[in-house]
Amino acid sequence: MLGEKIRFFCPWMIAAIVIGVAVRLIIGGLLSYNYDVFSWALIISNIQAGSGLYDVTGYNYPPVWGYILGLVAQLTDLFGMDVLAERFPDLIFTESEIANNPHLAFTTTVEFNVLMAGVIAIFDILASYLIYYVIREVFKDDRKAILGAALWMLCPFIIAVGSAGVMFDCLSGALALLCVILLIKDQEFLAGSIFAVAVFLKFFPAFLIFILIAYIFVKHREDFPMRLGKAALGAAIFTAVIMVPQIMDGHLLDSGSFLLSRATVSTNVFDQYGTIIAYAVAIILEIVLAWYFTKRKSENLDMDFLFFSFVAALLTLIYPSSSQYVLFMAPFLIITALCVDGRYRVGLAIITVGTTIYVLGSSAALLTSVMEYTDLISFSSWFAFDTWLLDTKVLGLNMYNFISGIGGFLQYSAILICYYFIAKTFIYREREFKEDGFHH
Amino acid sequence: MNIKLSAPVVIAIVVLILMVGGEALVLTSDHDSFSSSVTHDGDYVTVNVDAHGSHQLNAVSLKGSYQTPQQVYIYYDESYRSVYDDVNVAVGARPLDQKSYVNMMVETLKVRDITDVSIIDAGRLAEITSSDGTDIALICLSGAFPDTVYDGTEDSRILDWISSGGRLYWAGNIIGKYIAHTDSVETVKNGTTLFFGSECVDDVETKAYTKHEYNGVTEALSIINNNVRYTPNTYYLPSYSKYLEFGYTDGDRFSSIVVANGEGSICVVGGVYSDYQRIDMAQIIAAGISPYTEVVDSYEGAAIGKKTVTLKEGDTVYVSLGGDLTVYGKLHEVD
Repeated sequence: MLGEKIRFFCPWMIAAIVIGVAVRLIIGGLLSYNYDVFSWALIISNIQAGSGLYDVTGYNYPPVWGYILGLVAQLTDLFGMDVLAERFPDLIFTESEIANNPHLAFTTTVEFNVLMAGVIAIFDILASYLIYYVIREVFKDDRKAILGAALWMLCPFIIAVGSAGVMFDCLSGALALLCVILLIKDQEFLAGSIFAVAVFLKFFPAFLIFILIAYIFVKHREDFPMRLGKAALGAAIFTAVIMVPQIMDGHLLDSGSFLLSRATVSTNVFDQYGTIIAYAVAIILEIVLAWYFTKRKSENLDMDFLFFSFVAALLTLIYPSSSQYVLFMAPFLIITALCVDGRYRVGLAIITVGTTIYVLGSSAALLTSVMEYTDLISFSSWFAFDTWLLDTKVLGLNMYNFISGIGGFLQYSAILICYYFIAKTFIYREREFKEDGFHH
Repeated sequence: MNIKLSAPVVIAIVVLILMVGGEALVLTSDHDSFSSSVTHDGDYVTVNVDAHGSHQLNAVSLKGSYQTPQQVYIYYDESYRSVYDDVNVAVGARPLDQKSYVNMMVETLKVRDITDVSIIDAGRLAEITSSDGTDIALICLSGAFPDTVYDGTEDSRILDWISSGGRLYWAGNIIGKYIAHTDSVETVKNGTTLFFGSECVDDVETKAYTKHEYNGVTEALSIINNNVRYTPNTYYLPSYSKYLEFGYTDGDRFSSIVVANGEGSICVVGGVYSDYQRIDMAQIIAAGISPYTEVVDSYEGAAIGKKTVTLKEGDTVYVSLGGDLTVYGKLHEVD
């Protein structure tokens, strides 16, 4: 049984880490979505060639993930990976197969996939530890701390996004949580520094700025300007460290193409304007949320701060998103579901099923590395599976769209359910302030 | 600053240090980290490579190829009309237009040891094509020659320049079909004949799925583009034409082809704008592929740190690292 005063590296947690990492490496080796993981191989090659992040095609994010890939490039050399990816003629036909479900004839090696899964597993251990730390520190519950940490390591959708999707959004969530923890620990300078790193990793943490400032204001009303100044200084210094070299090379707009081009390249009017409107609404709601945080009387400021951070992170998903984006708010969801309000476990359960299906069930491209580099799957078997996914119709949709549609529907349903609980909580608080759902 | 050491503080500091370390690695990563050299040894050449890590090594001994061009020019003039198709790019990616293509081409050539690259306008292009073209490479991605060098007749300055020994590298549309003016585009009837001797190019959108491995160039250069649109159909090329075809093929068209024209040559890399097309064109220029190129010997294998391979003697040796994701290229003349 789990007792009190449990250290992070207790036998239960070590088992969870070992199992979690092993599953990640196996999934990463067997089921990597070649489109995104090839991008990481391409960027590493561009870096090694001396072309930086933006001189040639390949990198579309703000710089921080590229800097991390700069470290990974050292590992590919260290492990003797002479080939990261190859272009296979027998996969060329897939490149124009389906709109909005990109495929590539370029496929990464199994070794590279395992390496990337391993790198993302390290981010997951970091996120897991931070979940443990904040639950133990704020909620004083070691058992739930270990449960939360283990849940992160073993949760299928976290594993699927990181290992099969090979996306780094778990680091985005971990850094956002670290920023929150640093503010709770009155480390405003470091919190600002980490905030800058998180924002220039993948922009979404920028939505938290309002609630972060609100927390500093509420906690340090007497010396708020000085505390805020320290956070701003940290953010400014690391913004400069991250961005100045890119700005000097003329890549300011390139580093924002992840955002800028999404709003312009889509031919779908709903997509083009829907995201802009949704994120504008999200920003307004973030400001209202932060204002509300400063006005209310709190019985436990840090607990409320964690819950409000969860709400702030959840608001970034107001527009139906890709599977990986939910990982930004996932640490806060796990903390909320375990320690604040059990109702959110419903959302967590549905998102676990939905996002996992969304990642794993939608593409034969997950199997190209295994098919091309091992004898586990023949091309004919892979082709038969790919054809089945393409040609089998359910409700007028092929299996690609049907399966990913179910996953996406469940994922967004879970988010809407969480919004519903949040709305109930806030509306209920208006009437009976002391009997709301998140002060047990 | 009042920073008390605790687990989150230590983690934050480690994250910041790793991020800055990664940034330093990205910013200091340099093409010059790689190196290669060639020494003559009887009927063989010894190729020494420092792969600066782990990379696939391709070394190919060539005969009949060009030397590294003395100068590479890329024509790009915003004041003149261009004729090329818009292309879709990945969600979140920057648009691939002529300007970005040209800028990326400069970088792609630099990776392959070609640093003497100038971007020129229509006026400068006219000056350059007034001189002998020997050992000069000209890249044209505009889909139309400007009226300063091309008037749709055999007296066009660009044709004289090619036949004097110039190397023209073309992509993006049907060669010879259009004349670009500052405010309009003029269509030339049978313009392709001026360049290839027959109307052998159409704009049928075709991707090819078969790798052409006949002469060994495709594998040796890690050619990746498989679009054959706008490349000459070899069936319709005049029988006297001397050409070298490689890349992917749909039967009679090839994703890359170098066709002799007088003392010079015209290389067409197929398809609408693409990164694969840019990479292949840079590789072809850097390796000095000519209509008369023959692969004498080649090596493909892993290079971890320093590596030495021996090849049969040719005129030149092209060394590249990274395979389909090339990180280094250099052409060596065999003394």
